[in-house]
Amino acid sequence: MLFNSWVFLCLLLVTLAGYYAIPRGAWKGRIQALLLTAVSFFFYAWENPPLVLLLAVSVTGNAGFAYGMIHRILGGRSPRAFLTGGILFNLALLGFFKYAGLFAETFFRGAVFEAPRYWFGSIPLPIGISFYTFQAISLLADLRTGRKTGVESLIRDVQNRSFLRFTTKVAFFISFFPQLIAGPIVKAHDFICQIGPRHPGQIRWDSALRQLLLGYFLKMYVADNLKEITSLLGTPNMEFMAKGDLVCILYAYSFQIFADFAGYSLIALGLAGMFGYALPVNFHFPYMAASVTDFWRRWHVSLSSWLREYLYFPLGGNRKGERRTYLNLFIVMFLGGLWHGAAWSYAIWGGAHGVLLAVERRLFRGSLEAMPENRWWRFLRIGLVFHVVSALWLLFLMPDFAQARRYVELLLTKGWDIKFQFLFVFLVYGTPVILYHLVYYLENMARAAERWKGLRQRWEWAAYALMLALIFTNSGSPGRFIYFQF
Amino acid sequence: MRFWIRVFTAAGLLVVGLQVLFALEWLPVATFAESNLTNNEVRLQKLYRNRDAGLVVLGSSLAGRLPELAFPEEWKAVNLGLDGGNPAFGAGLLLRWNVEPAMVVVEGNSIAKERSGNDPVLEERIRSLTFRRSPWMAPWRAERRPLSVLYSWLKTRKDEAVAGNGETGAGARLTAAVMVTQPGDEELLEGRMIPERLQALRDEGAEVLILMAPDGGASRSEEYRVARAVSARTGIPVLDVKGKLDEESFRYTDGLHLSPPSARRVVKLIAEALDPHRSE
Repeated sequence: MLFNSWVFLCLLLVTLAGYYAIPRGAWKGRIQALLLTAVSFFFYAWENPPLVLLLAVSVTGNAGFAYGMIHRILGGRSPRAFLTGGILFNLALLGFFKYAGLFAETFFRGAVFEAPRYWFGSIPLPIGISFYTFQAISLLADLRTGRKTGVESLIRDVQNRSFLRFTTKVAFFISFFPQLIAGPIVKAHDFICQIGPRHPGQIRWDSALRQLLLGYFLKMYVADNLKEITSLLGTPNMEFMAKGDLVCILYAYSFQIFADFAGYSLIALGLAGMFGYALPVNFHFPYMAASVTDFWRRWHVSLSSWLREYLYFPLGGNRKGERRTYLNLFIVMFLGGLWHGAAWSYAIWGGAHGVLLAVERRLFRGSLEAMPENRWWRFLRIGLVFHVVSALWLLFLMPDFAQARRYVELLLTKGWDIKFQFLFVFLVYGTPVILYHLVYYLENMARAAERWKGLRQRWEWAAYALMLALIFTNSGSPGRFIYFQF
Repeated sequence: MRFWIRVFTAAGLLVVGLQVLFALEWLPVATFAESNLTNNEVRLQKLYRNRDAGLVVLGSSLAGRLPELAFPEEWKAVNLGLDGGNPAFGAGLLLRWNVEPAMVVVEGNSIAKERSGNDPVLEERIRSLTFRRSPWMAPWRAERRPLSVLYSWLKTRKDEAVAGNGETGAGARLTAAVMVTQPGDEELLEGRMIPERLQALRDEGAEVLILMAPDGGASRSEEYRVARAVSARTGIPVLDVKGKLDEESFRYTDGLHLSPPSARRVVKLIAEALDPHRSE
């Protein structure tokens, strides 16, 4: 179910009405959580009803492992067995449904393996599985580290034998529909502590509506219109494209993937906000990054934060010497790339970022931040990072290596020309992304930042009005969010 | 609260203001769009709203360049030349929507293509709520998308500037459609929908013409064979502008698609073929 569909709008309105119609009482919070969980399962089932069983298996399995861990902790015993079992359970689900086909393609070559290769390749990819399995792992890991804040209510529920409350919280955390399909990846200790009754007067409606409007604008106006040209890149179309067309489409994709994903994240934040839940900000003006390290503090923040906390730190982080740090960076980014899709091109994309992070650390550690603040030098670095990141998006746009290779060949051999249609779409629909980042720059880095901030606050209503009008009159054809495929 | 009142009021005024400008014809609607899908939606919605069209052009983006306004006004021409499209899809729509034009011009340059990758996408758009309500909900029409209007205006200016306003230099005038006398390859028509659909349109009283349009000298040998085979089976005449006139005497915006003046010239030839008694 797309967020920008009439069906979803109806579901949202009905859910909001039901959610806030629940009368005050001791059970209000629990009923509200149950309602949202039920709606989340319905939301998930809409795309492919049988796959809701998988979500149910994930929720049930993780609730069981979490319960087992807490039971062991309360009994003064090590929960390691349940933790290990739970993590393997989640990785097995992810591995089977997402990576079995890639595994078969890579290791079961030859005609004799044609049948298993076909069978593994036919396994459907359940939407959102990468996101909710990571959230489930976060739940188990947080319980293991004995975090007292955030997940302590789960421990209390088990102590008090409130199994319904315990299971409802786990199910709600894993399946909450705003972030179920494409994040942000929420950590258990950030979310579980928020679960409770909500009243309309508690809600920050203004903030939620702003996030929703901006999110829908980025998705429906920017991303959905840009995809009309980026979807043309591939054989045989690109054989007829000139150099300018190829470059234009690649940068258009760079804007599109930001608008699509950041738009989705903002919509998720806004939706969650309407129900009284705060999700983590997932994008922080990533194309203003002046280094690759900085880029990963701004792009898909919830994933990089998850990888840092649950993979990088357990691997040793930067505490085991420089060489081990570089290796850890590479491993984390390689696996992070592979998380995006069951294709080696994604792993290579992640690995390339890992190498860049390691190189940056080796060559520039400390010195980048220590440099005197010079506007032009900063612009240069921002531009360089943007171009490098955009070039690497080619592996997302064309996961097939043969096509990516052909793109590079054509880029090097074709003459310089650009189709008016491509240039128009790129400039017109890419401009909001540039303006979005420009606003950030003016309010944070430019001289007279306060003046710009005041200007923005005075005229913000006009910008939102224009965005609303353009959503209504000039949206692109509805398309799935890019990150749905991950 | 005041913030949101301002936002919704201003947005409403913007949308309503735009519609007023369109209604007063102070702002032209888009005839081209910046994406192939939107371009096709503009044309499909126009046909959907004008099911009493007197002449319909079917085909791909080649025929899509033939300006409707260049046809005699009383013919109420609608151009369904779709980007990446084919005449079989368009003919199917005419039958499905019970559009019974008096005249149908079928682009022969794409007659061999029965299905396009775009067809399922277009079918989905046609089924959408936005499309079905577009006759009544003017702000939802693709031709009124503000950025499509801007694109259409810029593109038209650019194409006219490139092509100039002079004559194309097309010499001989085609005074009659070419009737194919020799039989075509019947096997070519096996499994094709186009012969039956065009015959069905004829049975409903439409005068049908297959047009081989100038396209910069592209090789169309298979299309010619299919066009002749369809003509032999159904008796539909073929107007072979591509073969009978020097293609270099026409102007193109990109080596393939006719420039506006050349497209107007071809429309004139079509009009004369359909109505030889028509005076200039």
